[in-house]
Amino acid sequence: MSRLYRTLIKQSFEETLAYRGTTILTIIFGVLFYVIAILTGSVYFSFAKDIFGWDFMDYLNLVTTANVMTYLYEFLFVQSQEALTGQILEGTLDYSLIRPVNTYWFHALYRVDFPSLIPLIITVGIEWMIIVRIRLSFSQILLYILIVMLGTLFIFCLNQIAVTATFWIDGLSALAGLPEYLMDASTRPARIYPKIIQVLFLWILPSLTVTNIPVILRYRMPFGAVIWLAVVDVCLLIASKFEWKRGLEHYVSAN
Amino acid sequence: MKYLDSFRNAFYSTIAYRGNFLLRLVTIFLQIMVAVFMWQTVFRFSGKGDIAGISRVQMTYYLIIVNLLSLIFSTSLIFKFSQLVRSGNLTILILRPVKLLIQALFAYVGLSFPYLIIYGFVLVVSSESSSRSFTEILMTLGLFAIIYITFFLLITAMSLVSFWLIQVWPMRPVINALFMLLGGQAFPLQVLPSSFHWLEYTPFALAGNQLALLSLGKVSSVQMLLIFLSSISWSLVFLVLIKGLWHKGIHAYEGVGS
Repeated sequence: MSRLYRTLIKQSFEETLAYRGTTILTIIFGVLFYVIAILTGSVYFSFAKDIFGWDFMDYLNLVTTANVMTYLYEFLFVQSQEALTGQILEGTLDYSLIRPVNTYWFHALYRVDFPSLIPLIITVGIEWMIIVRIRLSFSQILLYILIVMLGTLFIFCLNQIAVTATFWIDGLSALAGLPEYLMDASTRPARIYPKIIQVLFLWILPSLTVTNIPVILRYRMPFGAVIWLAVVDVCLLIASKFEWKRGLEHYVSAN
Repeated sequence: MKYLDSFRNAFYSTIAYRGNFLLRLVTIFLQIMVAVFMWQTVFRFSGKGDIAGISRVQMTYYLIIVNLLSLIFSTSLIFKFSQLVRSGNLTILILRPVKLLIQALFAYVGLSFPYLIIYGFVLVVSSESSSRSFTEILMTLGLFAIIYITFFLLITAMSLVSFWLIQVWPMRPVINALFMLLGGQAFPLQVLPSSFHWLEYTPFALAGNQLALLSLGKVSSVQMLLIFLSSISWSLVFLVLIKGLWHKGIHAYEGVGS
């Protein structure tokens, strides 16, 4: 499997070099929306220096961490998931279904999005400066890295569930955009929302937990939330694999 | 009237995919809620009754209206026109006895018509919080129509670059980003320092920020005149641009069929 993945990465890299214009545009747009989020945050904090005990540095940490997770997800999975929707609708999955590989992971890791690597490196660099500034300890940094990995897996699972729904739903293209909107809505301090929304998105579908606990890390070690996020990730992964299995039974080949 | 068919077709294409239409409304509702909760918190922690002359309630209406306007001012025209040029099917439209610009305008109105109805409803509800005369309401509607045409002309001018560009999709995130920043979707432009106030008269600001403020009755008569003049000026610029681009582009175009 690792040899196959190396080949897929090589193919992705060659595609990136072939579509140089697209690569440059993806980098520019990626950075553009991150800059807009920071500008908007600076407007908020120009009127209120303190929001629920958070200062602008906390907000910057929140936005940057959310972007690190998003770019990491995009780098590893987004191209594969975009291609998967088309393959399901066009009935061209056969070429992978007959191969002696785990089809779920083959389609999840089919392509790597190299253009996302540049904004990922930029945001990781900025995040590193934030971490130095707020003086996180070594154990806090380790926990931060674990949260980023769990958060990326969470975003992957949400998107995979939305994409796999194509086996049943055709033409509902807006559905695929829902996880993106959910994560965008979660790039705010959890406490701005009413209690019921907080409970829903901190514990049931913990998108707010994903983005908020890296900031809370500055003040305390949120072990409970991290463990809960890991449990939800495992549940979502199982649900996504189950959906894939059932979806394949629904699949109609074009051959 | 032949152009009404274009309007009707575009209107049906928006509501035909009911799932997508409803999900789009759900996502815009999500965006509005996020912005409203965030700004209400900013108001609470700033200790101020109003920010840049906008009160708490008005800010809520502003955010609802500006987000609805982002739906009304659609960019889909660019991608439809690009598809016609790339496939060579523009020839079919050119051969028809219609004025393409007028037909495109009717189609543009048809596409955004369901959102215009929602916008009208919000306008009626929000007008209860502001005391405006009948003349002011009429002037607001008149300015809305002028700005609507200005934005349509802007999108039309942008769509004409399809004659030279194979892929126009990169325009979508650029326009979204411009509407978010210059259109005042992220925050009202009035909160910026006075040295940035000229931004309020760019086409995106007219379509988002200024129309939202107009709907709330937060624009003075002098500002209304400035909005009117800048909108007319932009329209003239775009009309000249459309004429020039069409003239050059049609020579670069290769059609298919008879």
